[in-house]
Amino acid sequence: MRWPTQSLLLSSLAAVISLSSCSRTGQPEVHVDGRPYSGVTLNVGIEAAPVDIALRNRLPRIREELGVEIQIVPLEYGTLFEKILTDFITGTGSFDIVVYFPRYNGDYIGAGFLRSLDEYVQEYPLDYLDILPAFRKLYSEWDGRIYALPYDGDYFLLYYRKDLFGHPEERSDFKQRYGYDLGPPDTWDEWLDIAEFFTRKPGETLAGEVLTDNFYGISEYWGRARAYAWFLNRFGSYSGLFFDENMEPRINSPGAVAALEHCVQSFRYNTPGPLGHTWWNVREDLLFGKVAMIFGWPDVGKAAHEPTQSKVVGKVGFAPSPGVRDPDTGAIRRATALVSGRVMAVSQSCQNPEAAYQVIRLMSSQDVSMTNISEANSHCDPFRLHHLDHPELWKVRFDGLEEYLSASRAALDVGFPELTIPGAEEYHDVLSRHVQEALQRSISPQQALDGVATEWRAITRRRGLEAQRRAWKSQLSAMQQLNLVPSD
Amino acid sequence: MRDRTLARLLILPCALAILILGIFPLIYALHLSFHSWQLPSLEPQFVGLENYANILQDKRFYWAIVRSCFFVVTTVGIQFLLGFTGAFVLSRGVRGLRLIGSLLLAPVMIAPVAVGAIWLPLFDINFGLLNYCLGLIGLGKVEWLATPTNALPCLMLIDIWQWTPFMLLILLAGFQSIPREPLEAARIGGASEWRILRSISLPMLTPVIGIALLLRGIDSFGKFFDTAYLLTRGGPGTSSETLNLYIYEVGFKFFRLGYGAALSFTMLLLALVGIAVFFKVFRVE
Amino acid sequence: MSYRRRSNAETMSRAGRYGLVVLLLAFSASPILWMLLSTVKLNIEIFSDPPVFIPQHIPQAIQENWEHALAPRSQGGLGGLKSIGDSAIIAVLNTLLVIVLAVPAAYSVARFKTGGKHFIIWIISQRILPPISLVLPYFLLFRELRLLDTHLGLILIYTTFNLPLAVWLLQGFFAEIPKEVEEAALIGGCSRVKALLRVTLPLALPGVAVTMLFCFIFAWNEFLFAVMLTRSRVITLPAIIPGLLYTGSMEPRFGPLFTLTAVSIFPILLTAFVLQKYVIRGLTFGAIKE
Repeated sequence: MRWPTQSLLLSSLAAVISLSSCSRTGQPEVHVDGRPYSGVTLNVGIEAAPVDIALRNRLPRIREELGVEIQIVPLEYGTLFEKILTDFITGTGSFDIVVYFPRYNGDYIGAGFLRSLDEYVQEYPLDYLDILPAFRKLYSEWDGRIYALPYDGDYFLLYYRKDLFGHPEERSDFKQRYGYDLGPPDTWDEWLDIAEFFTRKPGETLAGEVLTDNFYGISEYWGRARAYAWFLNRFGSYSGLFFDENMEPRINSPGAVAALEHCVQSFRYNTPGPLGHTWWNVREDLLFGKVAMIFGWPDVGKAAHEPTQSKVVGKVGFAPSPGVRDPDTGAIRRATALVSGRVMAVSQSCQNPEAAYQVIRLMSSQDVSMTNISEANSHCDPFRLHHLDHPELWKVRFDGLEEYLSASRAALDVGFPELTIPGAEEYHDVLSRHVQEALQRSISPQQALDGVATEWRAITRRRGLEAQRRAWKSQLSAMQQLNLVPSD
Repeated sequence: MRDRTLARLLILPCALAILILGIFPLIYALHLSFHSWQLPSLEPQFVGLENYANILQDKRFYWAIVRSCFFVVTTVGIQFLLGFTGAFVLSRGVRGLRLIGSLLLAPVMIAPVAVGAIWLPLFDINFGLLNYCLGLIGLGKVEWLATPTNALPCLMLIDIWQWTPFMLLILLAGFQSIPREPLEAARIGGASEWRILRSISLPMLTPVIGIALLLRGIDSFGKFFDTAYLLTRGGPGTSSETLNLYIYEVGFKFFRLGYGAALSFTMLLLALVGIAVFFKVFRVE
Repeated sequence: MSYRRRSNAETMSRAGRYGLVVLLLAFSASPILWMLLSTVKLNIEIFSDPPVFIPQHIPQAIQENWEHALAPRSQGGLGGLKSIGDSAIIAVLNTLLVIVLAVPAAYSVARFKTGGKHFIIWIISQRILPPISLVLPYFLLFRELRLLDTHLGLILIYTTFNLPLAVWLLQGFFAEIPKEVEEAALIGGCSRVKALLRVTLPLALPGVAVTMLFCFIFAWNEFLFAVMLTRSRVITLPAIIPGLLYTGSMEPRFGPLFTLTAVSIFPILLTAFVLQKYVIRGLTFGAIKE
C-alpha cells in the first residue's frame, strides 16, 4: 500500500509548490477532485504503435493519479528526429513531453530545448538509483544534470537454439572440429566458430534430421538504418573509444578495425539479404527456425515463447554478449550496445513542466514501468534493477524468464552507449554507410573506418570543434565512470 | 473595358501567385546557397562560393550524378523500347483498345510512394512473390533490394513498371494520328512493314517521341524520390543514392541547409544543361 | 497458295498481337492485383512461404484490415479516416484554387496571346525545377509564416506546381473553341467576362474537368512536401505510408496499408476511366491532342 501514502504526500507537496508554479505559468491550480493536476492537458510526441502502446495503456492510470489528460501525437520512426527538432527550432511548441532515442540528447538537450529535471527530482524524488547505471549515466544525464528518464531500455542479448546446442551428435562433432565444448559463445571468436559450424546446405543433417532447406548460423540486421548498432556490439569489446579527448576520431583504431573485420567474417554465415534486413527479418529468422543463434533486442525473448509468433517455443536459450579475451590475463572484455531504447523528457516550451515531470516520473516509476516492460503487447524493455530482480512481478510469464533476466543483468552490467553528442544521427549514419560498404567487400575494413574518421572530422568541424569536444568530454567521462573505455 | 487591359487583368492573379509562391523560394534558395547554416544554429553565415567549391570536391555528389544519369537513360530507354513496341503492335488493330488503355492507365495514376509499398512485399526474400516465381522455374532466391548491385536496378524495375504504360499510351496516340493514306499506298507498293515504319511512321512520330522522352526524362531526373525513399533510402551503402536522395539527406536529414541549397541549385543547372542538350539533339535529327 | 500463306501470317501476327496484349496487361496488372489480394488476407497469410493464393479467412481479414486502417493513430490504428480527410481537403481546395486562378489566365493567353513566347518558356521551366530544390526554401519560409503542418501550406505549394500545367492545358482547350461562337455572344451584348462564363467555359467543360482531375491527382499523390512539411496535425495519405513500413519488431501490416491504398486509388481510377479520352492530353502536358 505504497501508493495512497505517496500520492497523499505528493498532493500536499504539490500544494506547497503550487504557489510558485502558479506564478510561473499563470495556470490556476485546480484541486476539486484531489488530483494535483486536474485540468492539465499535455501533448506527448512519441513514435506511433507499437512504441506508444505502453503509454496508451497507462493513460487511465495517469488520469487517475495526476488528473493529467494526455494527448498522444504519434510520429513516424523514420522522421521522428527531424520532426521534433524542427518543432523545437521553430518554436511551434507541439510537444510538452517527447519520447525519443537518447542518441538525440546532444541535439535536444545540448541545444537547450529540454528542461532540466533537477529541481523537480529534488522536490518529488524518484527511485533514481534503482535505474541501471548505464541508462542513468549515459542517457538520462547531461553535463551532470538529469534531463530525461527511461521509457524503454533496449539492449542486446544472445539468443541460441538450446535444442541444437544440446544435441549430443552436434556437441561431439563440434568438439571434434573446434576442440572445445559447444555452448553459447563467450567470445566473438567462438561466435564465428559456431556460426560456421551451423551453416548448412540442404541434404546435410542438423540435429539428426536431413535438411530440406538452407540453415544458417546467424542473422544480423545490416540494413542502413541500424548497421552501426550491430557493429557497436563488437566495437565496444574490441575497442570502445569513438574519439580521443581532443575529439580526434579513434574509430579507425586497430581494435575498431578488428571489430569490423569480425562483422565481415560473420557476414558469410548470415541468412540471405542482411544488407536489406530490418529488425523483424532477424527476429523471424530465429522464430521461424532458420538460424542457430542471433544477437538482438530483448523483445524476442517474450515472442520466442509465444506459439502464435514462434515455431521454436521452448527451444530458445538466452546469454549475454560475447566478448574479447585478453591474451595475457584471460579475462573476457564484454560490451552490450544500448541502442534503440527511449527516454522521456520535458520540452522548454511546456507550460506546465511540473505536471509533465510528474507524468514521466510516474511512467518510469518502479511500479508502473514494471507493467510497461512486462506486458505482452508493449514494446518496452527492462531498465531498472527492480525489473531484473522480480520475475514474479512480470505480467508475461514464460519458461526461462529467470535465465532471460540473469542474462539481461549480465548484459546490462556492461551496457555500452551509442554517441549522444550533437549530430549523433549523422555520425551514426556515416558509420552505418561505411560498415555496409565493408560488408559488401567493396572496401576493406581499414579503408571503411578511415573513411568514417575523415567524414567524422568534417562533421565535427562543421558543427564547431569546441562545442563538439565539450559534449564528447561529458559523454567520455560518463563512459569512464562506468569503466567502458580501455585505458590504453 | 479594353481587351488589352482585360487580358492583363485576367492573368494577374495567376502571375502573382506564381511569383510569390514559385519564384521567391527559388531566389531564397539561391541566397541560402551562399551561406553555411547548420541547424540547430539559427544564424546562417555568409561563406560566398564555399559551398559550390565543396560540391566540386564531393565524391558522393559525383556518384549521385552518375547514378541519376544512369537511372534516367536506362529507365527511359527501356520504357521507350517497350512502349514503342507495344504501341506499334496495338496500333495494328486490337479489339477492346479502350478497355486496354484504361487498364494500362492504372499504374500511372497510383501515387509513386504507394507503388513502392506495393512492390516491397514482392521483393521480400522469403515471402516475396518474385522469389516464389523464380523458385517455380528452379532458380535460387535473389536478394532483391539487399545487395549493392541489385538495389538500383530494382528501383529501376519499379519505375519501368510504372511508366512504360505512360510511354505506350502517348506513342499509341501518336501512331493513331498518322494519316492512313501514305501507309496504304506504301503497302500496296510492296514496301515491307519495317521499311514503312522506318521511312514513314517514324519521321511523323518524331515530335511525339521527343515529347514523350522529354517528359519522362525530366520527371525521372527530378522527381524520382518517393519509391527510393521508401525502399532503400539510398542503400545498401550509397549504392542506390540518386541526386534527389542525397540532397534530401544533406538538407533534411542532417540539416546542412546552405550546402543542401547549393546542391539543389547545382541540380537545377544540370537539369537545364540536360534539356539544352536534348533540344540540340532532337532538332538535329 | 499465296492467299493462304498470307492469311496464315495474318493469323500468326494476330495471335502474336493478342499474346502481347495479354503479356502487357499481366505485367502491369499483376502487382496491383497482388496488392488487392492482400487486402483480404490476414498478416500471417501475407507473410507466408509459399505465398497464399486463395485466402482462407476473408471476412475476418477484411474486418481487421479495415478497422486497423481507419482507426485513429492515437489508438494504434493507421489513422486512415483522418488522412483521407486531410488529403481530400487539400486536394479539393487546391484544385478549386488552381482553377479559379488558371481559367482567367488561360483565357487571356488563348485569346490575347498574353505573354507570348515568354509564357511558354516559363511554363516549361516550372516543370524542370526538381521539387527537392524547393523543399528547403519552402520549409524555411513556412517556418516564418507558421504554415508548417497546416492544410493551407500544402494547398499553396501544390498550387504552385499545378498552376503552370493547368494554365497550359486550359489554354489549349480554350483555343480549340472557335472564336466565332464567342463573338456571336459579344455581338449579342454580352461582356467578355460574361461570354467566357456563359459560352466558352461550358463548351470547354471536358477540358476543365480533366484539368481538375490532374490537379487533384497531383495533390492527392504528392509525397515529398507532404512528408517534409507536415508533422502531426496534417497527415495526407501518401505521408503515412513510410511510417507503416518501419515498425521495429512488428511485421509491417500490409493488409490495412493496402486497404488504404486501394481506397485512395479507386476514385482516381474511376474518374480517369470516365475522362479517358482526354487523359493522354493531360499526361503529355497538352502536347498530344487525341
